[in-house]
Amino acid sequence: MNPEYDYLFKLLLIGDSGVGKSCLLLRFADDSYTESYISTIGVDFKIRTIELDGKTVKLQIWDTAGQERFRTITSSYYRGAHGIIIVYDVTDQDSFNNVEQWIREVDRYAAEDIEKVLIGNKNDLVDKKVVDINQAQELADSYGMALLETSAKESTNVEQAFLTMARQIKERVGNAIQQHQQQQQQSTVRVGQGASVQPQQSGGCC
Amino acid sequence: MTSQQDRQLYIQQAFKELSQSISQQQSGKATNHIGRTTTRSPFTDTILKTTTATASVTASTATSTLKTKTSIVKSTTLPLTTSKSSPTFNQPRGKQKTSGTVSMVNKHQRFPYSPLTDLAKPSLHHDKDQYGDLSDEDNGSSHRSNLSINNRKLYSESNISFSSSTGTNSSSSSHYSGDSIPSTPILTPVIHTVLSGGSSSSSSNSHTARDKKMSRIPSYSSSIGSFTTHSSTRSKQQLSHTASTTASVKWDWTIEEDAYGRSNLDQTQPPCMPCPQKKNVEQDDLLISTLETTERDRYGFKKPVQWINLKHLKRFEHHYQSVLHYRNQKWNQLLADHENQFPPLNAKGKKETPPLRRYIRKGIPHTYRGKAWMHYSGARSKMEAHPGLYDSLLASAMATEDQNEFAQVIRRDLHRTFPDNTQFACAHTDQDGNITLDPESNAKLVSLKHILFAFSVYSPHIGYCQSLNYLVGIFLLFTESEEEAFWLLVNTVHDYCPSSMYDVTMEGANIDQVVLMMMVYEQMPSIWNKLAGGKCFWECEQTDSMPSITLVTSHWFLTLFINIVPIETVLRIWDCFFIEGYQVIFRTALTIIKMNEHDIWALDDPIDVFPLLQNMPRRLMDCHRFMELPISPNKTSNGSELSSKIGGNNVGGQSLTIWSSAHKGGVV
Repeated sequence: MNPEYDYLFKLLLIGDSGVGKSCLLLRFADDSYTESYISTIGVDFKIRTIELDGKTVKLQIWDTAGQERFRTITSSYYRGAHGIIIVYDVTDQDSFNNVEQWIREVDRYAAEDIEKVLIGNKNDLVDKKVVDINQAQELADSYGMALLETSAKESTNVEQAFLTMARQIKERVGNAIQQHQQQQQQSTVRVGQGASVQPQQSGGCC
Repeated sequence: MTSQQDRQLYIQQAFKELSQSISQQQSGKATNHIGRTTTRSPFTDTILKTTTATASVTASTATSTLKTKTSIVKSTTLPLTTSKSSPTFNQPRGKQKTSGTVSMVNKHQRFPYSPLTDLAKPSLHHDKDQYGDLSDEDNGSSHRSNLSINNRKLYSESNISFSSSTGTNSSSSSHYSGDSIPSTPILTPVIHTVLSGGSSSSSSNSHTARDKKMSRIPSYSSSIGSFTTHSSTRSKQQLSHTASTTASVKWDWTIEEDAYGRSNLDQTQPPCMPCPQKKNVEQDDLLISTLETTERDRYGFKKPVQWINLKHLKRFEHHYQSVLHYRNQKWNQLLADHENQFPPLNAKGKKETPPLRRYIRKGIPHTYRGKAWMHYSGARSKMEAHPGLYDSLLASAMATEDQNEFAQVIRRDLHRTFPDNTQFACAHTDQDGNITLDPESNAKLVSLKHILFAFSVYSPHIGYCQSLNYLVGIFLLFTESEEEAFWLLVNTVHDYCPSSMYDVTMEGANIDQVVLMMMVYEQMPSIWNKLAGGKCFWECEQTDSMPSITLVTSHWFLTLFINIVPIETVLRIWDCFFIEGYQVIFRTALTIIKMNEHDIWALDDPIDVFPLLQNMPRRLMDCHRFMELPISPNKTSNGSELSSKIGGNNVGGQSLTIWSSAHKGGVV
């Protein structure tokens, strides 16, 4: 039996606590928004299937807790991800300053060819914005990342951010993954360690 | 002999005894059933024998997990509470040091015994005694079937053995030396670790402290002993009922589905429910329809109508009301009989009169809950032993608020703690429709802030960890003052949870997940295979790559099921947690996984296990029946387990219990 999708991409949302990772995910997965969101413990998880260039892509998105100590729980799962979305808060300079720390974390634990996207959230709070887009763009360029400023509240650029990430992954490793999946004729893509990770990693290298 | 070899021997001996315990358990059960007035069940002896052994197993697991993260773990813990074992402000307390090196052999081989391997069919354990308490003399229901007469008798019997079997002497747990090398080939997965400052000694200390103060956390082994005898008397009744009711298999799943809103309650009224018999369903519906539909529960939480069919929810509430009312009456009487004092838990194996643990497992009434938590956890004695400490901590914390490295993240979490609860809401909408959040405007959130700041000063090695805010939030709903909630937090974090659970390493939380997965691997190998994609547990353990589902389950442990299961179920879990210890969290977690066993098997795409395990617990509204699952074992007379329940008296249960002791006592 073939899966109901052509690609399965695993994405990780990381960034400081309170930058709006959960709200971004809620907006993208459920197209809703709430001011009264609870703080994420460990991880939250949502799935959304999208159409991309005529292909069905299933996005499995992990929303991680932002507090630094939770990295000990989440970092070991970086390696299985295809893409990592690093989020900062445009109204919080500290959260932007910590982006490089998050990138180091990714470099340390994730696959080498992992796709990264930088997102500046809460862009609707124009009056409180402190992180200049040029500054952010410079940082993103230095790490070869795309940058998008988003507003989960106003649903600005959220869809584009995830689609950008999905397209990057698809272009880079999608074909290899699909080939591998067809070769294996697996009816499912395993979630556990190894099975889904290795083909994807090897796919990325091909 | 090297230290690694020592460790290997510990592990080998541990597994040997675990395997032996299975047969002993069975024989113990028989003996107990026949000679139920024996002072201590053979199974309890088995537990005693395996205490240290399993501690070694789990210690090794824990230590091996540490290997890729930190080679040395120093933990700072409060000693198990006595009124005199007071922590000194900002002083290291009870340091223990665990160091280890790890290697692995035979990692691809599996355990020789998996007690739940053959449970491919729906379990038979649900019968008319599902609620148990509802059909015995201690029952809140006025609707009793003829069977309840038998139940009453059986419970009467079980009460005797229940109490008599609690006589465990934990300090007698055996030690394994290199001289007792088992030649058994059954042990295949072996970890070598070095554990200095053995867990047994600190375990002994714990028991000493426990013995000194009877109302402290009960002995794990004693509580597990109670499970054993309790079940053994019940199981026979269950079996006989099962034998006479060919529809019992069907029953089981009908009930399961009913409980989680996936089936029509009208289809068949579960016999276990504290509700009218089937003939009264129409009358029941009439009653329900007249109930006022309220959006929130008594605590201010929104009712989980998005997860649970409203009709089912209302019916459950209707039924549960009568239970609560009756439980309240029982507790009123209980306290009246004891001069308005909470009776002590009997940890010495003497008969409990009244059977207090049973009372607590059936739920502490709302009005007594906070006080009971304070009393039985030892938080009250700790608070009374440190008059004024909280105030000074708070003053110190507030004076240094700006220098507190956790201040920002604490403040950021205040308005994100139960924002949908009316008691914690702080969102204000202005005339233009703009929403502003002002935690300072809410007294509960101010208390929350105070407690978290004070705790960050009290336990600087922890500071603040997200999820503590939720624990404190619940405490604040049931305590009379900030100070009480603070000491409950202190006790929960330091005395109940693994000592490094919330600190900056979160090793305790990581280790919990490894152990949970080990339990799944042992008890539900098919589920393990689904979760791990065919990998062996020991391979995952060695490469520090546990199944991704642990990302979900870690949340369960960190928040002790807050935001995971409905609030009333959380409270019932906590009732048991504060009396029976951290093992309750493991049992609950395994129960939830086990309840989803068939659904997990049926998944075409293993990815779907994540939404399954995330969403299913939200439907566990029937707390009264759900709590039967983690705390009550089920066995048939021939010893083969048919239960989908995670009993405390199977091998896994032992591992849980003993691991919990080890975890707390000296591993971390």
